[in-house]
Amino acid sequence: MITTAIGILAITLMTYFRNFTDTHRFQQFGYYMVPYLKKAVTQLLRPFELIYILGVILYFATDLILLKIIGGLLLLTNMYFLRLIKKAYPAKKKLVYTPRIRRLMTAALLVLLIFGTAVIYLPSPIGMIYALLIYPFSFITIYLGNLINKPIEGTINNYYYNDALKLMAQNPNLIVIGITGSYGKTSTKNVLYTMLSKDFNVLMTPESFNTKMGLTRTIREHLKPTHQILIAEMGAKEVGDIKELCDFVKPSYGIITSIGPQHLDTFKTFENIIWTKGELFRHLQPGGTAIVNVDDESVRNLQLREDVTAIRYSASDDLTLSPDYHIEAISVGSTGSSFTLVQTKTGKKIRLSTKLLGSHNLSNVVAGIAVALQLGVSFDRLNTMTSDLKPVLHRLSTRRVNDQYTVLDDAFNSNPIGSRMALDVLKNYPGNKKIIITPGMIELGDQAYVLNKKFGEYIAEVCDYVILVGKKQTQPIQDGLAEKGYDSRRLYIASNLNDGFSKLNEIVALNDVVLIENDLPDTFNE
Amino acid sequence: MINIGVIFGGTSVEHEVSIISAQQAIAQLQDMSLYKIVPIYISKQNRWYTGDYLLEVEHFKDLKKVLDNSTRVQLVKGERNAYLIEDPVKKFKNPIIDHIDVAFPIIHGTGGEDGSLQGLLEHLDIPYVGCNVLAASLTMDKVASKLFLQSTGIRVVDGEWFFTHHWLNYQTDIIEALEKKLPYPMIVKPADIGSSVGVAPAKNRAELIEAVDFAKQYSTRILVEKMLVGMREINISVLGDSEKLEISVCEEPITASDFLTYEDKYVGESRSKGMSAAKRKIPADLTPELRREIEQMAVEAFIALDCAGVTRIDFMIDKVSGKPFINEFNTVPGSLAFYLWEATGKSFKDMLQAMIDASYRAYRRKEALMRSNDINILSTADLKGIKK
Repeated sequence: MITTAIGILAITLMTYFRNFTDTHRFQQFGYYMVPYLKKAVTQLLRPFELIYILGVILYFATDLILLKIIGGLLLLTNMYFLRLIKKAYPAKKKLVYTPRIRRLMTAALLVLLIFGTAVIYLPSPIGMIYALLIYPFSFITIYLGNLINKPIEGTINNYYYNDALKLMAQNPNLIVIGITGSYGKTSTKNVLYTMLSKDFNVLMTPESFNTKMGLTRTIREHLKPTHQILIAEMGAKEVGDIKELCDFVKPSYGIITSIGPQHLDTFKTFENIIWTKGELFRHLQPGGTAIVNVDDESVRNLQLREDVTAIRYSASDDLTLSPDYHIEAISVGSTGSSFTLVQTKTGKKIRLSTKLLGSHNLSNVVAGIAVALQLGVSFDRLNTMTSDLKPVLHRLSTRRVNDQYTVLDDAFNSNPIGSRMALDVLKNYPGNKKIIITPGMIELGDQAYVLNKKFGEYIAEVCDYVILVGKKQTQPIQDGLAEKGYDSRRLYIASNLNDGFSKLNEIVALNDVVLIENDLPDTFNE
Repeated sequence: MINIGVIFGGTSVEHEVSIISAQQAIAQLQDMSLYKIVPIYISKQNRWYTGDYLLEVEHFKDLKKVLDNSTRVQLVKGERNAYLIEDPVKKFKNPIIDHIDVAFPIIHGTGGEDGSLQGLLEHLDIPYVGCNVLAASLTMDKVASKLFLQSTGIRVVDGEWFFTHHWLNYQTDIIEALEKKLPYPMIVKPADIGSSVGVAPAKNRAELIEAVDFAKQYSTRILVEKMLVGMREINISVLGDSEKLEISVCEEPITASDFLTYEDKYVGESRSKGMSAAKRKIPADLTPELRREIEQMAVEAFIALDCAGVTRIDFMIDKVSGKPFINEFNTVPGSLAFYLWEATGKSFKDMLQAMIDASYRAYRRKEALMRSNDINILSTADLKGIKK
């Protein structure tokens, strides 16, 4: 009896230790229970955790003290391994101990203690069965804890929501601009913020605070009565998410940057994604303004209410899309891009410049211009707004090295569209040799081969010299290059990043342009 | 609703003028639906007060009663605004009386127009209307602004300055030096006080001594300038900031004496209406060339000194050469120079809004600057032995 009780207590503690990992995962899934559970059941036990099973059997099923001790030691070993692994692979984004997480962890502990106490008083084989099951299914306590806390969480959240609404009500003239899109909504938001801040007091939701709670926190922590504009980034994982946010902050301006097949796991169909993003336009305030990116087919085809004004913008000079504003005569240089903004209907033009590079960034700038003009900013003022825009470091930022050559640093990009855009910029950038150094794109799933090969084919068109980092993982790019008959004397396959850079130093000459593309961690170098 | 703190009164010789200017502005702001006015009155004893009693100009006929009917407060940094907390703080009572989101100082002269109040507001980290610390102190100081404008290449009248404590010891030397550089008649001014307080002309040495003795009651530094005889005075106002500004029409004050004294400006028959009731000709009778030159000099000086809000720049036109000279700046002009803007076609309310907008721009420009490092240098430094 005593040994069983001690055993159950130990099991409870071990399970609770594992709960931290479970909670972390729950947080990573944005507190969405179903996708979280789906993921959890696929990973009940890691191979080394069989030690745990063995330990439980030895401890509970035998009467020999020696075997019991061995069982106990095995259990301890398992804990030690668990800790070791946690330390060896630190998460990119650590578990944040928000009040909600603390409440959840408390509830989970409560569940475990109730289970444990009950089991101790039940006949003997149940203790072992419980021990065998509770640990692999530790996420159950998170589920139950969440269930217990749900009414409380709801009440607490509602208090915060209402408080945020009260603050907004004190600012009746606040103009709310909603931004959504499958890619690039954060950079659109940043561009818009920088531009509009020249003439207005602007508040924006910080880095990826794009849920109802994120908006609530932004408002409660930062909104002042003197703010004139609130830029709200709106994220969506399920149908109705954007509508909920629109009902909450009531945007009178809406920008949809792009619609793509992101989060298909939760949306199920592409139609659902289009429908959900379109909620922003459908749920604008009466007489609102939709800022429509006509370069994106799905955005272009969204139906608008009759009372909503559409401002159509395009980063190309393709007039068949009938934009209200478009740009032409783009030139790229060491100081950034310059382009001519045209008000299509009147033919009114103005030459503008920005330190940003690449068509998608320019598209964001045009979106910002469309909003600014709609808010009554004059044409003359636009260049003040655009010329202060600069790239975030490693996102197509430029630097001159020793006044010898130029580096286009796009190391933070990881998607095919961005890679393509970076190559376009490289192509148009004034300079002698065009050099790329890249490990290729990772994390593309089953599309990885096709997309990387395509990337290789385009590299062949643009670059005078190619440095690939990692032989095995850049195979698709090599195949792409070969398909286009790329001269293998202008290709170098580096074993690691340092090797790649020493090759670069060897070949680089005055006024060359070097594109550093995609993530370059040194773990990918086989 | 934006809580706008109108700060007025102050330990300045222009205390009463400030009350009138502020009450004129308050009457307008009360009609603007965006704002809730939080009056902050600084008594002559330098204590701060708030309360609705301060919103009525008639109440100020009895200053003691004003203090009895309002709450003594201090302005302190708030969450994302500034709090008015009760002074002294009482135990077991929430000390926060009110808060302000924007400050609107309407204090003429010392303590309000010279950068010291602006320094406090800078620390409170809220937008405030009018000049920043440097611009306010530069423009308030006749010596500093003259030297600054001279080096910028903007025409000002020749002048010399000295400390009053040096005057006591080296009076003869100073007079000789002045006479060598400047012809009579001269005009003697305290360096850092507005509204013509302590200003006197001097046609000869005896008058000069008398004028300096009069002026040194008001400042520790004295400015002596060449007096432009038979000059015309022309005033113009600039509204906004270096990023976005507008200019008003010109006015020509009409007075019997050679220059406008404090009494002329405020104590005459029209004392309750402030600067707006002084005798003047609007728009001033000027040739287009002269008007344009004045406008250009005003804009250049306004930008060079980084002024903001509404500034009235006073010019003198030399009778002989016909050239305009910048005489002085009023960064919190009497009645906020609204009469000049009404004559330009801009309502008092629009002018106030333009001033508030300029304060937002200044605040945003400041916010966008990098002020601190994210990295704590001390976190890796060896701190042993720093304190001996």
